[in-house]
Amino acid sequence: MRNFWIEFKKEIKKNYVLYLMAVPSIALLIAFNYIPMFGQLLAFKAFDVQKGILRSPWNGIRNFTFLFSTTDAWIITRNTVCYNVVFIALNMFLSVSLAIALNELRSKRAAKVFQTIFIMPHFLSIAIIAIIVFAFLGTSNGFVNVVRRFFGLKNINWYYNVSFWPGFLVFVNAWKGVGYSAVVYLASISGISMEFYEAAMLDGATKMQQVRYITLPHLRAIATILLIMSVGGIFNGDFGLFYTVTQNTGQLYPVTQVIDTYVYNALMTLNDIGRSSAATFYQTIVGFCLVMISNGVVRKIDPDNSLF
Amino acid sequence: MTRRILCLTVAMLMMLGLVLTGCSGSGSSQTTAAATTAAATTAATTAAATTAATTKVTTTLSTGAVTTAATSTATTAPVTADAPHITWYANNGVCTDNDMVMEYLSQYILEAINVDVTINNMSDSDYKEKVPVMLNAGQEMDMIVCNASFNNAIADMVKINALQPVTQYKDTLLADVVAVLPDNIWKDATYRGEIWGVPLYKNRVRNYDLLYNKNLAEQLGVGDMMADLQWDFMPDLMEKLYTVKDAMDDQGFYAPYVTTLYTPDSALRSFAAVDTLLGDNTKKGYCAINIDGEVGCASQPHGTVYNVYATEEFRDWCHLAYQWVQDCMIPEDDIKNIDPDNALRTHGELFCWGSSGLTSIDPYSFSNDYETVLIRSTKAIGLSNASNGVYCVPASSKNPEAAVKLMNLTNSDPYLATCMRYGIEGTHWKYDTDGQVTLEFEGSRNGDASNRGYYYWYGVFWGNLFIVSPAKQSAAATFVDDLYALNEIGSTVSKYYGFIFDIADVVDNVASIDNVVAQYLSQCGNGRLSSIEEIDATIETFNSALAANGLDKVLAAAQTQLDAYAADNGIK
Repeated sequence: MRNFWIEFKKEIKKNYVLYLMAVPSIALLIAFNYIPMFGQLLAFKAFDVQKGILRSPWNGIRNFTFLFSTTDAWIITRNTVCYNVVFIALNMFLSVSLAIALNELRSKRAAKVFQTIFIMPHFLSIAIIAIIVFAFLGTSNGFVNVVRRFFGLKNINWYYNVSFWPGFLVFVNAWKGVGYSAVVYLASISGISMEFYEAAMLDGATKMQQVRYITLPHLRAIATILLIMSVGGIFNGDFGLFYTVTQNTGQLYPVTQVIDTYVYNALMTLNDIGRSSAATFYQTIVGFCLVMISNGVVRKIDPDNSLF
Repeated sequence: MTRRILCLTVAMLMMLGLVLTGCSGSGSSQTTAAATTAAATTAATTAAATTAATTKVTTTLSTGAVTTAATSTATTAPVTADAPHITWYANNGVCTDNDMVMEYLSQYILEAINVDVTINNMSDSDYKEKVPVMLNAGQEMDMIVCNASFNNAIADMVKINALQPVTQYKDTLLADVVAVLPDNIWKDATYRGEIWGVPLYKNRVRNYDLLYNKNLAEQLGVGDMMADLQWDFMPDLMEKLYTVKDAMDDQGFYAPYVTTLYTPDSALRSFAAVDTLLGDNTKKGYCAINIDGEVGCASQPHGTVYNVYATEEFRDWCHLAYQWVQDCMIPEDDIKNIDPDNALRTHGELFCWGSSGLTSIDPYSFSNDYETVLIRSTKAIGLSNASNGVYCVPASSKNPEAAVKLMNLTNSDPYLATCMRYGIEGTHWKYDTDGQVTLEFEGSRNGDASNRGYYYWYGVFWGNLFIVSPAKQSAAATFVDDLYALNEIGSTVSKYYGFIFDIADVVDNVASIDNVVAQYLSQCGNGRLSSIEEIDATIETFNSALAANGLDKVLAAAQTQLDAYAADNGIK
C-alpha cells in the first residue's frame, strides 16, 4: 500500500499537467453521469416533493407496470430494437465505406471539403432536420408533391403513409450520423503505415484487396469498441428523430413509436416522475446487460479488441 | 518547456470554463425591483445577480388619472428593507418591453404590499416543459399557475405534495379577492377539502368565436348573410359557410380554403355539449358526461360517464370533417404547416377563422386593410372541472404568506391588472379624454398595432380579468359587462362543477389510453383519411384499442366516484 502511494505521487508529479487537463472532464463525468445515478431510486418510489427522494415511500415495482400494461408494449419494443439494429449495422457499413473513400482521395483539399460536407448534418439540430424533411414531404407545399403536381400527379400525404417511414427514418439517421462516425474511422485509417500498402502494391494487390486485407483488419479494433458501445443504447430510441421528424403523427405510430416517445405521450399530462424514471431505469438496465454480454462475447473471440 | 507552458495554459482555461459553467444563470427573463437601475429601461438579470443586488430603486410611481374603473385599491404599506423576496413564474410570453414593465410592476407591488417579487415570464411551451420539472425537483418558487394544459393539474400536484394549501388565508390575506370573485369559483381550486390557490376569473364557459373578413364578405355578396349569422355548433356553422364557398366559385375568387375555424383537437366541444372529467377537454373525450339541460351525445343518459369516441355523433363529425376537406372548406394539412405566419389572413385571402371567449375586438386588429367582425356562437357551455387554471403556492416556497398577498393583490387591484396587460402608464397606455384606456398616442410604445412594445389581451394568466380597464384597441368599454353576460349565458354549468376524478387506481390505464388517443383521434377527426370507409374502419380500431387498454375500468371508476360525489352533494 505504501509503495502504491509513493508510485502514485511520483506519477502525479511527473504528469501533473495531463491530470490537470483531465480534471474538468472527470468532474463533469462525476457530476452529470455518476451522481444522477442516485436518482434511479425514483423508479421504486411514490415520489413526494416535500419528502424528497430518500424519504418518499417505496412503491415496489408498481411504477414499471404501465410500460407493460399497454397493448403496444410489443410494438414499441420491436420498433426500438429493430431500428437500432439497422442503424448500427447500416451506419457502420456506410461510415467505414465513407472513411475509406475519403482516404483514397488524392487531393487532400478535396478530402477536407468532402469531410466538412459530410460532417455538417451532425451539427444540425433535430428540429431543423424535421423542418428540412417537412420541406420535402409536406402535403401542400412539399418539394416532392410540388414536382408531382407539375407532372400531373396527385399529392401524397406522406405523413399518413406508414410504409415509407422506416426507410425515411433510416435515411435521415444515416445522413445525420455517418459523417461524424466516418471521421473516427478516418483517423484510424490515417494511422495505418503506408508500408503495408506499398508492399501490397508490389505484390500486385488491387485496391479492393488492399482494403480487404489491410484497411479492414486495422479498423477491427475501433469498430468493435464502437459496436459494443452502440449495443448499450439499443433500447434507447432517438426521441428527436422519432417524435420531431415524424411530427408525432398518430397514424405512423405502428412503425415510429419507440419506448421514449411512448413514455412521453403516455406520461406528459400525468406528470408522474416515478413512472418516467422506471422507464429510463428499464432501458439503462437492459442496455447495461447487453454491453456486458457483448463485451463478454468479444472477449472470448478476440480478447485484444474487447472494451474491458 | 514551451509545451509545458502551453499545456498548463490550456489546463487553466479548461478549469476556468468549468467554474464559469457552474456559475451561469437560468437565461430566462427576470427582473426585480431591487435592481440597480436609474432609468426606465432595465437589463435582464440572472438569478444569481438578482439575489446579490443590494440597491433598491425608490422611484415613486404615478397612478395617473383617477377613474372608478382603474384606481389602485392597494394600501401603500411602508417599504422595509427586509421585504420578503418571492419568485413568480408567469406564462404570458415575453414582449419587447418585458424587462422594463416587469421592473415597474415589481416596484408597484413592493410599494403596495411590501413584497419584493421577481417575475419570470415564460412562453406557454416553456412553461409546460419546465415548470412541472421544477416543481418535482423542489426548486424554490413562490407562485405558479396550475392547469391541466400545463401538465400540472391541481389533483396531480396535490398527490405528490407539491403545493401548499391557502385555506387558512381565505378570510385574512385573501379577503380582497374573496370579495370580488363569485363564491362558487373556489370549487376550481378545492381538492380534498383544501383550497390550493386563487382561481383565474375570466370567461368560464366554452364557446366559439367566428371572426370574418367583412370587406371580403361584401365583395362576395354575402355581407348580409354574415351579419345575420347565428350558429350553435360547428356543423351548423359550416353548413352556412357553404354559401360563401358557392359565392367564391361563382365569382372566380380563388382561396385554398374558406376557414381555419376547425381544429380537430377541439372536436369534443365542436359538435356536442359534452364535458370531460379528466381536465383536458380536447383529448380526454373517452371519459365524458353530457351537460344537463343541453343536448350532448343523444344516446347517453345524463349522469352517465361514457366514451364520446364510440358515439354516432363522433362518427358523423368525422364524416363531416372529411367532406369539408374534400370540398376545400378547411385545409388538408395543419394550418401551422401550410401557413405558419398567417399570411393568408394578413393579405385578406382567408374568409374566416376562429377564437374562443372573446366579447369584442378592434375591427382592424388583424389587418389595417380590412375590417374584422366577431360573431360568437350562441352555445356557451360550462364545465365541471378546474380546467381554467389556479394560482398556487408550491411546497418549496419559503414565503407562502408573501405569495398569498401577491395573489390577493393581482386579483383585486384594478390598476395593477391594467398595467399587467398594457404596460406602463404614460409609456404604453394612458387614459383618453373619455376616461377609457388608449394605447395610441404620441410617443406610445404600443402605438403600432403590428409591433406593440408590451401588450397582453386577454392576458388571462395575469389574473382577474373583470377588474381590468380595457383599452379601446382591445375591447369595448362595456367589456366587463359583456364578459359577465357571456358567463351568465353559460348558465348551463354542469351540476357536477367541482368534481375531480381521482385516477390513482387506474393511472396505468389512463397512461396507455392517452397514447391510444394520441395515435387515433387526430387521424379520425381531421378529415384527411382517404375515404369514409377508412374513417369508419379507423374509428372501429380506435375504440377496440381503447377497450383493450382498460377503458371500461376507467369508466367504471369514474362513474363510481361521480355517483359518490352526487350523493355527497345532493345532486340528482
